[in-house]
Amino acid sequence: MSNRSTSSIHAVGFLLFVAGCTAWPPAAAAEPPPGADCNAAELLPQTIVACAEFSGVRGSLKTVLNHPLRSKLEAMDAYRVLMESDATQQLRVGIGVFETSMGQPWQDALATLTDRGITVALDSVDGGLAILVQSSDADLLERFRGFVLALRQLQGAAVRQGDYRGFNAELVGDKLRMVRMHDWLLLTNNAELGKSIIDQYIDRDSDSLQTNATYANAAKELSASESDGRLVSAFLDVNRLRDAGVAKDVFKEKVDNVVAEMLLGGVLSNLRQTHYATAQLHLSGDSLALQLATPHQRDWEPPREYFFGAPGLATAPPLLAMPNQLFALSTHRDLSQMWLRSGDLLSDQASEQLVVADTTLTTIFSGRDFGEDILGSLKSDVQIVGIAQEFTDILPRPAIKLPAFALQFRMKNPAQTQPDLRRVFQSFVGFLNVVGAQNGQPQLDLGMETVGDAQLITSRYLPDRDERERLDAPIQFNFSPTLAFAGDRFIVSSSTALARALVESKDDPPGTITSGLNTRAEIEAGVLQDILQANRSQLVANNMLEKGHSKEAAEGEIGLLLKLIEFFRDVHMNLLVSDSQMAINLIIDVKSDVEAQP
Amino acid sequence: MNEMQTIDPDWAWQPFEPTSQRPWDRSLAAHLYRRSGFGADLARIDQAVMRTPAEVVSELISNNQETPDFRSTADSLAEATLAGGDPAKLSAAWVYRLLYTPNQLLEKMTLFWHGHFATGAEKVNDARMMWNQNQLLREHALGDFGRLVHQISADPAMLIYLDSAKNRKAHPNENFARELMELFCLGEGNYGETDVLELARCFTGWEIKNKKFRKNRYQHDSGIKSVLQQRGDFDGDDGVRIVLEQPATQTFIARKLYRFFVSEERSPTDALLQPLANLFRESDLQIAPVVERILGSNLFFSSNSVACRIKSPVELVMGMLRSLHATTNTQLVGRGLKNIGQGLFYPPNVKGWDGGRAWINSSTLLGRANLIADILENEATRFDGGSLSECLDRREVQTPDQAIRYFEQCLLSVPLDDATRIQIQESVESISGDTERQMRAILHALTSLPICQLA
Repeated sequence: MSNRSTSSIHAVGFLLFVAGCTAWPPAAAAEPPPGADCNAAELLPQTIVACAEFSGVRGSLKTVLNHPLRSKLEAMDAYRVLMESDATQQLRVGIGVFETSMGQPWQDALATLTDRGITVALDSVDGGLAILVQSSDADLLERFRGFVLALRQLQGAAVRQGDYRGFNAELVGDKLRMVRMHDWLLLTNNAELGKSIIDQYIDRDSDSLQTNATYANAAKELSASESDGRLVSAFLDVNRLRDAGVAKDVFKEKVDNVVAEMLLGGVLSNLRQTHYATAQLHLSGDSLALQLATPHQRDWEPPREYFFGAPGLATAPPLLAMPNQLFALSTHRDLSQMWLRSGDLLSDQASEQLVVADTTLTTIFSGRDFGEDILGSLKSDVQIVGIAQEFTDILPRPAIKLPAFALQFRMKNPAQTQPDLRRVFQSFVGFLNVVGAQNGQPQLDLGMETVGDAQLITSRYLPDRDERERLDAPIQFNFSPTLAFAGDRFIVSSSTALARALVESKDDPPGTITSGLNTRAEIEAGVLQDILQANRSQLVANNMLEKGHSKEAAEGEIGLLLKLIEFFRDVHMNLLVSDSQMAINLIIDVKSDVEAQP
Repeated sequence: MNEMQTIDPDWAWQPFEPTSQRPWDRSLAAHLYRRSGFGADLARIDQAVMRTPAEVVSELISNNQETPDFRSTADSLAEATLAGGDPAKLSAAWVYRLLYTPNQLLEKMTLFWHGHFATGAEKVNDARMMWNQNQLLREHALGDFGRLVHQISADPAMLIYLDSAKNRKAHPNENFARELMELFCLGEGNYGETDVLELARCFTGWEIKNKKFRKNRYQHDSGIKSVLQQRGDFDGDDGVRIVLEQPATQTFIARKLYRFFVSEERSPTDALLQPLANLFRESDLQIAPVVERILGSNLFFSSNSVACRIKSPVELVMGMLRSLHATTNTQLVGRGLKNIGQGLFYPPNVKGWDGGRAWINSSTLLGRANLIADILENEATRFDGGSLSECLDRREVQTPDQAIRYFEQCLLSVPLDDATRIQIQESVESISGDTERQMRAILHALTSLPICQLA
């Protein structure tokens, strides 16, 4: 920062400091009322529908600012450009002024101002929002108040003041009011909500969020969990939301989309019953972890036993582990049961679509009932895997290089099911060829191969004679649909290579099976980056067409995207269900050993 | 008496010499850029005013090939959309070209030939074929009309579109033969039904196999044909040659070029077109000399031409964007153009777009305004890399009044009347404090005016 801008910051900061100290009378009453040393939940009204408590701001700031990735980030060209932008320059001046006003570095000031927590709460009455900040340093809080008021005055806005029970309430935004109550700072957009908080602060004679039984249960659950590195803990009164008719689609008995039902049916089913939900965000040097949880009861499960497992809670099989793996997902879903109970689960429209699909599929499967006989022949373990495809020695090579993916099921009776599935696949390929020929699309060539005891029914697109060495072949050349049978395993793969790799892999890959783990998934950032890199020219072209960027700007934006992905290691997700709780955990692992690149 | 009959053909096509009554100024320079391309910013218009009209026209004509760099970039975008195989997305790649090309006349002529040799992606249903045809049109856009017709006659997309992918001697397909004479080269009344039948026999054996053109000698009718008073064992190439030799060819193409560059409203007499037709024939059907003659002529810069055409949707949208150095989401523009009647790669039928007053009705006028609004609201839209107000500010345009005058000079072919000017000013005064919104509102209001639809 130049000397000139530094001196101007000091000058403005000094003015703000002086203005803050002299122009505004002290905000709080001389002595705090009895019992003022309380927590935010004791001040907030019972009608709060959602609140989030931020704690450990100092630690989180330290984690972020001292993170090894910071220097890598700062070494990037995009960071330098961002730092030179007008908006960033203004922000830096603002930070400088803040530091001068507070008399300490912004990190220290922010940490001290919030060292006893920040609570953001949303009231169900009129949608009022309240932010409560509690600090161990009431003097610093007062300086901050003065800073905000002086800044607003410098911006040319008149600061309107009011008084409520001895506390000054200043209008610091269109509707935003600020009140300092000793070591508390209250910001709210709703006067009535603000008054109720001040009343409670002084009198402590009303029901508060703390005495709300639903909140109390949630708070108990949150306090029982790991608090190390926790940045945010949040509570949502789902009961109140349901009663208010908010997000009606989420709370509908029947789902409109069959895929959404398959993925999230059980979660939505829980949301329809639960009183509350909690969230926790943990930050550490190598990960960011979010947990969303609700209570769970087994009698909430019907009619979605297909999701949870009946009679006992089901467990997802281990994740498949393949080379160049982009993602893996494993889950427990009794698809046959879901299909047959679709009338109870899906909306009328979605259900009708499924009935049409059922008729078509039953025809394709030679009259065998798709839900009962075909899906019913499979166990409830579903494993899905996606990998980056290797095209180095492959011709023709598609212009857009997609990942390959495969689904692995377990057959209940392989000897009976295998011939049916094989025959249907052959018929299906024939059908695709007829349709493809009518539309001038490449044709699939069926094949069969044996790998050990496994049998593969393969297919591959045949290029025209003069297009066999194309490097920009159509998108179809990403696919070589293949069915594989290995023991009781039944694999449907988008590529023969992946199917082959799966049957060659060990039947039970390493991995821990956790009781109650309904679904688990992971995504590898490195492989995602490789796939995007392989399609870089396509991404650049799309960027140019969709954003109107020049080639250089598009190259820069895609390059930045790829570099940012490089900072991540992987993303894990799991859905845990126990007799008393359902929890979704999402963990984003970051790297700390990325090589800085210009 | 037809107003056009009073125009002296010799005067009409003489090089334009500015006079005190008709000076070479911003208005006429902007007219030239609007018609020969899609529009130019004021700085470029001012540069043109510093030179003679002939010099500017000569430069436009001489820029008849894309630079390798631009071609490489634009082609790579097309290839990227082709990888997905959806012809509908291909139009975005062409929009990009229209928006960024340094050779506006070349792209304008490519659009002209796309309407002339109209081929629709809906029926062809193969993005690669459509793109190949587009490249063919661009390659010959200002070149040799004869070569263009020969090559379009063997173009897979064209033959599929005209149901000529299979043309067997037992059942000669008359479609292509008829359109070659009626729509592509001669016009109605310059051939007979027998000529259609005989010409169709010439093309027997021409077919599309595996998306490629081939001559199937076993399906060619090698008998004697009689086409347009010539007899012989003709094949398709002979048929095209015979058609191109007809005197009607030069008049037909001259008339279409006249309609495209000068006016669709006033029908020219044959006498008026004759000098252009003669020039076309004398230059062995080279396109550039005729276009150069039109763009540099007295008639082109006269009141018989200025504001005598209705902008096509492409001209309206590209004109607005190019005049203000704007960039935007080309997919959005591609889809929007289709919605208001000029989908690139999607002409309505083999006759192409009717143009003229057919562009405008209550629905398309509203559609034009909505498309401009969509573009202005789209977050990808930038003017000179930033906001519209920043872009104008760099040109010392800060107030609504200044903005109206600026847009007027770039976008309008006739001056704005005071009442409309005041009306626009008053309408944006309610948007207080937000200069960007004000400027965008003015631009939207101005481009939605009926007079902004005139080129």
